[in-house]
Amino acid sequence: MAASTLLPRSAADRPSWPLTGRHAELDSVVDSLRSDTGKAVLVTGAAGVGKSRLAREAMDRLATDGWTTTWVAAGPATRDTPLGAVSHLLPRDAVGDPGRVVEHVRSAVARKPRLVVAVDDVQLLDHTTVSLLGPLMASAPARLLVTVPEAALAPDPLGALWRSGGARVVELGRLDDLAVDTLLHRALGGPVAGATTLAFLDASDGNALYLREMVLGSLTAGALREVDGVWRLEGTPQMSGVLRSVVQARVDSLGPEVRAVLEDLAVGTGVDLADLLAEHEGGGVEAAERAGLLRVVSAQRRRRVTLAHGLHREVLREDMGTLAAVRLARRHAERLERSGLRRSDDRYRVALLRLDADGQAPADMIDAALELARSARDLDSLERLSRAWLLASGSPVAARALAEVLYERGRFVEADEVLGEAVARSAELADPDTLAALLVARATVLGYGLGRLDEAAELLAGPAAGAGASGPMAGRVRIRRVQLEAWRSGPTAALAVLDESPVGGVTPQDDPGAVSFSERGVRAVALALSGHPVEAVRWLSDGPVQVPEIPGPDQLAVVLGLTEGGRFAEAEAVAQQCWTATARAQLPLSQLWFAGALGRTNLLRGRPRLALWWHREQLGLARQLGQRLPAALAASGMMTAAAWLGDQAAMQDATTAWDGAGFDPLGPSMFPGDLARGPAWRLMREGDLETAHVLLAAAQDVAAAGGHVAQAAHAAYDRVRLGRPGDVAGPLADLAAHDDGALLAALARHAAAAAADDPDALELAAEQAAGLGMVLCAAEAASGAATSAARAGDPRRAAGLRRRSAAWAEQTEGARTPALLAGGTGEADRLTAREREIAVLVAQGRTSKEIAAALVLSVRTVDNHLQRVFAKLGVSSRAEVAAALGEERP
Amino acid sequence: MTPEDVARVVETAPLVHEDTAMVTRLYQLLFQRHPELRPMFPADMSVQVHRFTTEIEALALAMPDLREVEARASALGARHGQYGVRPTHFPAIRDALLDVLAERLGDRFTAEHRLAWSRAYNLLAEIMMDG
Repeated sequence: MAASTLLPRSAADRPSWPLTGRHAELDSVVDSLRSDTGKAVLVTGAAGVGKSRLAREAMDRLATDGWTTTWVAAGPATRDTPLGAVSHLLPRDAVGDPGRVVEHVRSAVARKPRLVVAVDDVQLLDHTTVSLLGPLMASAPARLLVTVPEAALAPDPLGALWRSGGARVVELGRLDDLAVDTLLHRALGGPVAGATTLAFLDASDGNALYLREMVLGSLTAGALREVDGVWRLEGTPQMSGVLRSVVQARVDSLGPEVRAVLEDLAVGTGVDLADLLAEHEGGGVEAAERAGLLRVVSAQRRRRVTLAHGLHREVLREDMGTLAAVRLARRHAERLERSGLRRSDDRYRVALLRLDADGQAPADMIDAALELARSARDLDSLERLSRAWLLASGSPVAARALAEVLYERGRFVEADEVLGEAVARSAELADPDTLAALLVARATVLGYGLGRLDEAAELLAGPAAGAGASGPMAGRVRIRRVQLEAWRSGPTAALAVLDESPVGGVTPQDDPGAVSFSERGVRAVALALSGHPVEAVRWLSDGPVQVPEIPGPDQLAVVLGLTEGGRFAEAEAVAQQCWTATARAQLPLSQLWFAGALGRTNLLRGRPRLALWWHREQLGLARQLGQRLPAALAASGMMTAAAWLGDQAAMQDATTAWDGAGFDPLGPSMFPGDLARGPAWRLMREGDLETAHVLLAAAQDVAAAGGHVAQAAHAAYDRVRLGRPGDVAGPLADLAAHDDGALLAALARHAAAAAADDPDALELAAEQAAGLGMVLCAAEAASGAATSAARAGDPRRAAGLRRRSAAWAEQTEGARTPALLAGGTGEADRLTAREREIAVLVAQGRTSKEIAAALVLSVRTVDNHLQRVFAKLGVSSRAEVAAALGEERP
Repeated sequence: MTPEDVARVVETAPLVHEDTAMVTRLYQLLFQRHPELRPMFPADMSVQVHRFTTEIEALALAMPDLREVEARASALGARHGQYGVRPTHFPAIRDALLDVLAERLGDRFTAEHRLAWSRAYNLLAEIMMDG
């Protein structure tokens, strides 16, 4: 089914979504109605859970089986009109004469051997129509299917039948997580980003109607979009107009008592139960609870009340008007203040309430509130609080808090403005620590957010930064300088800054909320990049790597160290955990780097399909946050993968992304080799092999000049893949000699063996690469070994090596590189029809004499053929032929 | 499914194909746990095992393209309906499949792979039950 048919742009055109998570219930409803004893079935469940949909599906099935089906929709509009719900089914002259109506129903039922009547929302049926249920139920073959929120609400005689156990109840609960996942996938027509599914799951709580309307609302608002084949939501799910009116209708139907309670809760989230009961003595609280509109939670020995559904809160607040909201917020704040602010989050709540009511709040409260909002990762509240705080106080700490939120949300220009003003204001007045903190924050925004590296480095190199600052603060200035240096000039310069003087024990905890490396982390990155991946990992962990609840840059340093050291499986396990944790915590900036790390490891191992997936993920997030470097890295990785796969469409996507990022492949970055690889592979695909080599050689030089040992090696190694091992074997050996990990050694070994055209060395290189999990590298080396062996006049060995190469190549998800194809595709070794015939007979255990007799050939001819079969299959005995035939690809 | 789920399922698909004993073991486990399902299958399971192996691999490889999944799974679902497969049977097969994958693939079948396969299976099952 085409995605577009399920995505109407207008409210008028809304085909239903696929029935999901309800097939077992559907079966059970239909089976009951078909059975001899199934007089009536009640489908129960909360509003929006999918009762009517289920009933309609059941009716469709019965109609297909030859049943006569009649659908009656009860509702508020027909409730007060006698026979309002069924008037369209009755002869015009019968309406108004109950006797004739009953007679009509009785005779109509009698004429139909198999009749099923469905009544949607049977609790809203008018009394006269209810009275018709009696004759209907008295007829043996007729069946009744009704939807009703609770079985107890069913009118008699249906209710009586249920109470006596004569009616079956099928209760619908919320859709489970898997059903929501499947429903989103099918409705949108493709995969959905993990964080997006979580957001819809949380907001809808498995209610099918809410889910559907929020998806449609988010599509209409442009918040839910398909980027590179993945559906992704920006911000929170939006309500559609339909959902708004559904919720509105529900809220409007409540009495004033209940509504007052709900409004109170909509303003003051988490109101104390005792307070609420004291405020609303008329029974409104109890009524609201019975209607399932509020939820009581026990926390810190108190019982607190919240609205059961966030949607109600939104609609109530929009409805109540500003003055009422201010009045309520003020009342809640005063009540909390009178209570002495005993609980840990009272200040938080008061600060938000005061901001609601008065547009400002006491500074100490905002401070405490910010702390809580930070630990709760509540970015909306953080932004509101810090902005209000900044407006009220002009404090540099407030400016930094606001800038951090803006940075995290990818709003770099705004963040820079806030910090620029704060620096100007504080240059003379503030203490050295405060000023230094502002400068670090601004350098981060300028350098990483806006890509203005020189300006950023200048800010921190100036005399103002860190002068007179305390130890930890001076350390933070230095860490940021090291990072910017690593980016701008390479790891050698970064390590030099780090070694100028000891940083002091700065840990991430000194820098809460900021996305920052620790001293060890930043050192580990520089080490991993400069040829010391083993030492890098040692700086950060001396045993199995532990992943904290909220992973950050330091974990990225670990992944980088493990990857460059050739420990791919561990690197992937850690990166995977970190990606999941950051996705759950909604930290897209960290998340995109872990996705990128997974793209990298898969590319290094030679798994282009997975690499493509992860780099697409990285690209989507990078675009969302306006991050150019990661977008360029993702695009480059995608180009490489697409070139290996020969996937034109993916290459086109990647090229568009690359052009959009507008990044110079040879400009300053932490990853000069990775950036150039994609464009080089694209050139190769376009047939311009020469320029591809030139670009990779230039990238290798740029990287090496900055001390980027690993990056230089990766650029150089691609030239082996592109068929020129002789040009890079020497430099790769040098680079590997300066590296303490296993990865570069393996790459250098392959290059040297290929340059020497030495089959033994190539076979060894293949095995070493395979040992690290680099299947493409192994396949390429084995393929090269096959060619060398053939050249050396050993066709049998060549065939055997070719088979080993093919076996590794099968694990590369279809990757094809010049180095892999250079070994030949085995065309020359393909068995002729006659050879195959003989080989098959040998495999069956026949002797040459038997074969000769069967094929009317001389024994000598058979043996001659057999020798060629042995050579082509790379085997030396009859016993091996069967196995080799099994492996040989037709 | 997330794009990562899709990639994981695609990645494991060839392993199912390579391990011919896997599907035999799957049915063994299924009939052990649900002997009532045995009569729905032919006495000689070899054709069935072959079909399942081919079909599950094809479906797994089709995961990146929902339209192809829908086409395959609908056709499959229609056939299953004729054989008397009911919605309540699907969880039994799902559990057997996930357990066999874990058993045969060992460390290569991580918790993430399990989640990815259960999401993929649920998607297939829902489409099949429509059909």
